[in-house]
Amino acid sequence: MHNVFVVGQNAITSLGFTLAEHIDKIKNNISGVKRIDDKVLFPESFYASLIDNVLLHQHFASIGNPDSYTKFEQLLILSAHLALKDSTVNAASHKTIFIISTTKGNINLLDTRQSNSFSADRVYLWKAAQQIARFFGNNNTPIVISNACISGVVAINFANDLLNSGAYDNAVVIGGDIATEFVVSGFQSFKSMSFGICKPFDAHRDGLNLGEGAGTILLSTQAADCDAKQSIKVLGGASSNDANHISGPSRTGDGLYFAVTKAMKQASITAQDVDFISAHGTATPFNDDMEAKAFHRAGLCDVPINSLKGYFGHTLGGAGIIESVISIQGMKENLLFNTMGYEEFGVEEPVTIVDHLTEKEQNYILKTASGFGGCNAAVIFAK
Amino acid sequence: MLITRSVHITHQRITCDNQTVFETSDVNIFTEFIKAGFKSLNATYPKFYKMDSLSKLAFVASEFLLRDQDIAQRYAPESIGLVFQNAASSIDIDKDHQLTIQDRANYFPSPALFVYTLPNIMMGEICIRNKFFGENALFITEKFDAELLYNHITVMLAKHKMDACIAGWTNVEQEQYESFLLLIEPETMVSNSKEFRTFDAANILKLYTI
Repeated sequence: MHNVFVVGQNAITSLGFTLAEHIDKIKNNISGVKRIDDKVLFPESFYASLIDNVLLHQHFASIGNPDSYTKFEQLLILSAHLALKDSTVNAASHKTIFIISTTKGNINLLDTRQSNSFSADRVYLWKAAQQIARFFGNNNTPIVISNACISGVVAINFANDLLNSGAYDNAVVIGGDIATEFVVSGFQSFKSMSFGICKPFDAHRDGLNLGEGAGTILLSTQAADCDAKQSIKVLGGASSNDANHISGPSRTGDGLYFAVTKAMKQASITAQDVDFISAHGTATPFNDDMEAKAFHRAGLCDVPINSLKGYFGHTLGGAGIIESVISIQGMKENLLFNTMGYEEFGVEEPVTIVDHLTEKEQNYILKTASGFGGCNAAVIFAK
Repeated sequence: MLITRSVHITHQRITCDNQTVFETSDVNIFTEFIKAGFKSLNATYPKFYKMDSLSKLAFVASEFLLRDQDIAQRYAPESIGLVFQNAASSIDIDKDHQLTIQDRANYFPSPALFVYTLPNIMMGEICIRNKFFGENALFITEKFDAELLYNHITVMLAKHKMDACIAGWTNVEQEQYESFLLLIEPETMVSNSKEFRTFDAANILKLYTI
């Protein structure tokens, strides 16, 4: 079985276009979540993390024609480009596969009030993925994973399985979603959005912030080029279903517990080995309780846990990748990042929430995600 | 590994291991057809009527696939995985949701509708019905990709991420609908194993194109 290494990363959110900008702002407790008064997105004001469209357009114009690609495609292409340019991965090689994680892709093209020049089939995720892979001259059929909010973690696990088997040498795993009236109105109809910056695991948490963004993680079995000391491996992961409710998390945390324990088994490690957990932590009342119960049951109560949602919101199909990328950087720098928005402990089991920037050596970290449809996923990264 | 059952739903007909188990020429629209197909199972499951078209199609296919199989008794619930493919995501319900927001004079987004704008909900519905806690993966592909399905499931089985699998293709776009699901189980768990086809890409394609 081939080992799979992380050989490149990028994140794009309201915090910036590079991973370095994200780390700098997170270290300084700067959130990109703001009050949004944009009647196109929603009739009333709400809190979300949005990317500056002018900046995105400018950045993209330096690598491609902005008129030929939708905002969603531009975002994912730019993220992959920025990750690839500092790596030795040949994006056009037949040994490189593109894996795209998204919930809604180009869903804004359904809006018939706005005319656009894109062909109608761009609304299909497989078509949008082709645009992205072809931009880099890659002729393999790109693979799209669309598993709600766990898509990013499922995509990393799928890429790891694929590379383990030797089918490809490299995977360009890109995840993202844009903020649209479609999604904002849906989450508002669920009354699940916070009235301020979200407060994961806090006693006064009142809901989530939506975020738009993209993340890229380059995986490769060809690790000769990486600095051995800095190389991070994907050890293994798993997914599960709560078998409970399509739009609410399990009250018991059974599903997430299964995903986490199976991921540890895949990675051949135990709960004692886990140095840090990057949780999903959306800051909805039920979700955070469910996660605390699952981590408690898995014997992970004493392991530091954070949620990054307070910095750039819930980036949906991007979340699993963006949050992995940032947590991997924390692992490299031996830092645990603060849980923005968290003040007072407020979940049903005594888990350990990271409440300030902390130095800690980390050899094994766990990333989890949970989503609509009762799905959960977990992945373990190792130094 | 063996393919112990296959179900194919398209063109107003449901086949199970290539035998027609439900067919109608009375109704020619999808919503009526799938309701009639569900009723033919004599199952009591009111949640079915709340589902969107994609979930209804996947659900009815899974009910025929798992009928009299007691698979939840034979495998640990966390070891039964679902690997699905689909081309149009949840496009029909996406358009319905878009209609509820596009006209500001008539603005009424609904959570009951919005939740189905995620195509993986169809797998959630099947897991809830059968109490399956295992792997969930949904690939969006232009067309059914037997090779991708086979390769991925093979790796997942080799890594012991699952022991049994419900896998296939379920796609709806207006009146174009098709579900093709397989039940995949290890030889050791099947008493009359000689009766079944080996799980490989060629056999998947054969069953799909029959």
